[in-house]
Amino acid sequence: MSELLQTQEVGSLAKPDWRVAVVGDKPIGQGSYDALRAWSEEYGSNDASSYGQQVLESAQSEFASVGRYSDRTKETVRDLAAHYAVQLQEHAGLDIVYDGEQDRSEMYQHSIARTLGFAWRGRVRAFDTKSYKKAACIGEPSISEPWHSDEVTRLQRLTDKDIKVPITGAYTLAAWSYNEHYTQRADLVRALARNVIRPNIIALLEQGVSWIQIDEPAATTVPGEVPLFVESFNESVRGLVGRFSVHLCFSDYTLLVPHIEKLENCSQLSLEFANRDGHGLGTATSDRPAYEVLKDIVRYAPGTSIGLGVASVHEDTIETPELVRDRILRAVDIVGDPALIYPSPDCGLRTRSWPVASEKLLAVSHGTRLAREII
Amino acid sequence: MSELLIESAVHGIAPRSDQLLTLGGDVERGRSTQADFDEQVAIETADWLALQAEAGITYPEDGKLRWQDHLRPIVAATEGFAPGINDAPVTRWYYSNTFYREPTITGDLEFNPKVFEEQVGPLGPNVSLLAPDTFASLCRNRFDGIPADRNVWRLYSDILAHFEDSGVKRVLFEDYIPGGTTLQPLDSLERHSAWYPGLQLGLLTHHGVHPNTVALPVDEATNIGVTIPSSVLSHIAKNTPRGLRPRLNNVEIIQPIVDGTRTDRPQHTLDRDQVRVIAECNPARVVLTHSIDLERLPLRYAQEKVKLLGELARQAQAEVASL
Repeated sequence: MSELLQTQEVGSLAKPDWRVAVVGDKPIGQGSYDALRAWSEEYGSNDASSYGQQVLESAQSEFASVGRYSDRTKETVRDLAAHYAVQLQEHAGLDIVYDGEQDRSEMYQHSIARTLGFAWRGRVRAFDTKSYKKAACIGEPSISEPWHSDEVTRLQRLTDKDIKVPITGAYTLAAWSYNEHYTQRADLVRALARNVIRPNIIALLEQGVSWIQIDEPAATTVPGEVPLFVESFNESVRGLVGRFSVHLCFSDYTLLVPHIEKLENCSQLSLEFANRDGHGLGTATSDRPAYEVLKDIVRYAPGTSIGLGVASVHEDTIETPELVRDRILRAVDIVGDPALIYPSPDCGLRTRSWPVASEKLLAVSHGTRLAREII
Repeated sequence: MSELLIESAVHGIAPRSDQLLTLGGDVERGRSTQADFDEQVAIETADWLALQAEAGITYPEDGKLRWQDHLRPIVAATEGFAPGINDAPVTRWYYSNTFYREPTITGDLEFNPKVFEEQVGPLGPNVSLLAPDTFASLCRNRFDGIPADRNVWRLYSDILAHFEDSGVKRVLFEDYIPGGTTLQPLDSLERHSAWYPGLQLGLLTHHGVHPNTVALPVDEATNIGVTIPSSVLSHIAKNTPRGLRPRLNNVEIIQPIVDGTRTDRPQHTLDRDQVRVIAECNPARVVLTHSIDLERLPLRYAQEKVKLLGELARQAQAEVASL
């Protein structure tokens, strides 16, 4: 029987500099070698270090002679990045892992680039110095082939741990795009769910994946459209046999609460909390204000597990294990059943460096162990 | 008799070019310097103003390229907020895929104009700001001494005084509070207009969840029993009931031209019905502007929208004159 309070990732990790350089057809800097060596020493073996070194040297030599990298080299380097990303999570002691989305440029861009019926419009700032490439829907969305197969096949080779595959949901893809095809955005959302997300999910299930996390950070951003998000989730998974969860972040969860019970076949809500929580220790309501909304969630969706954000992804400060522990204990107190709590970072850690991400995941694991001892 | 002029205004945060977006990340990673970034901001600010001049925009704004979000430079220049705004919680900006850093109020808010100008650079004649009540609603309040909205209004009094001293002529408050314009910001606007006679204050309402579909809030704008000395900008729906039109006399009009990148669809240009609405209002009070920040568009599309805005104002003027 697995332990209580299973720890999980949420999706993305940053891409190592050498992976960015090779995929972007740019030269590999000396710093990349140093970083790779450091990570090999920390998490791998001499063999791993030596192999990684060879891959980069070979790539660099290719770049020096022809000014770019072959598709084969890019694939090898992506594989290497995924290998290290999995090692990072295993070293941190997570129970449920993924590959840090090392094949994906970004959750929106990666999906839209593989979806027919869209045209890129350009970069739009999200916050601070972060931006994303935004597209317009100009025709009926569809796919020519499912796009997660290769990364899942590789991951199944890289780890024996349980895996959870994150995919970007229909509502978010629609909400973050310009709709220049349909009269109503609802029709775009429905088409994405039916023609794009559902076929991808079916392909993953056929590949033996048992748990798929549908990322819907935009789910509650338009209050009047929350039922539309629910409809799109249900349309994406209806009748399929598997475990499905949904991830939301940086938004008002109270808007979702009245609609939670209409989510069909949704076993987990994975939510960001740490970003909006206090930093002091304690398990009282006043110490842990961010987690109060769980009371409403439990009332409307009893038995649904919670992917519990206990580490912020937007600051480098590392949470102490004691702070993580208290956040978990507060959630357990509200939800009642520790088997329903899955400690995790708030969201994907792609905005943090690997050393910071590693420390944060270690804090999640350590804090979870402290909580288990008390429970 | 002077010729009727239907005016136009650009407001809010403009898009950064790809070069500036990349530079911002490079500065953060130590690959480039703040001086390089500032130099590029100066170039793009000048370009943005030149574009508006070319388009014939009556009230141009500088694009606020130094503003990371609508709150940050003010928070950074104000005592009474929790320190460390650049690391404050990342919070979604209403219905968009953009975010702001949520400030926490911890005391009486005291504005420092010098720090503010260091943040944003010199001010132009037209400045847009979040409406004070919207600003307050976006903060976390951990100060019991005074309600957050009153605290922020006091802060805004200092800001407006500084603006007046700095030669600002027109301040447009942007009200994002969902659910409709309330009496409070209009009432506050009236009071502040009296306090700062050198400033023309306006209010732009973004309420509703989608700028293309919100209904016209004319009831709130015109039924409050007072004369609003400054102006209120509002959406005008294509299906505005005829009975509501006479109430539009104090209401300026905006066009929802931000959503989407196209400029050739009917909903992105004025139709005859809307022109008639303008004519039945007081055309001399009409200012055409866009809805949400043009930063929601990649730069080249935002540039097209600015040009379109100028064309719409000229088109409306000609069509109203022909009626």
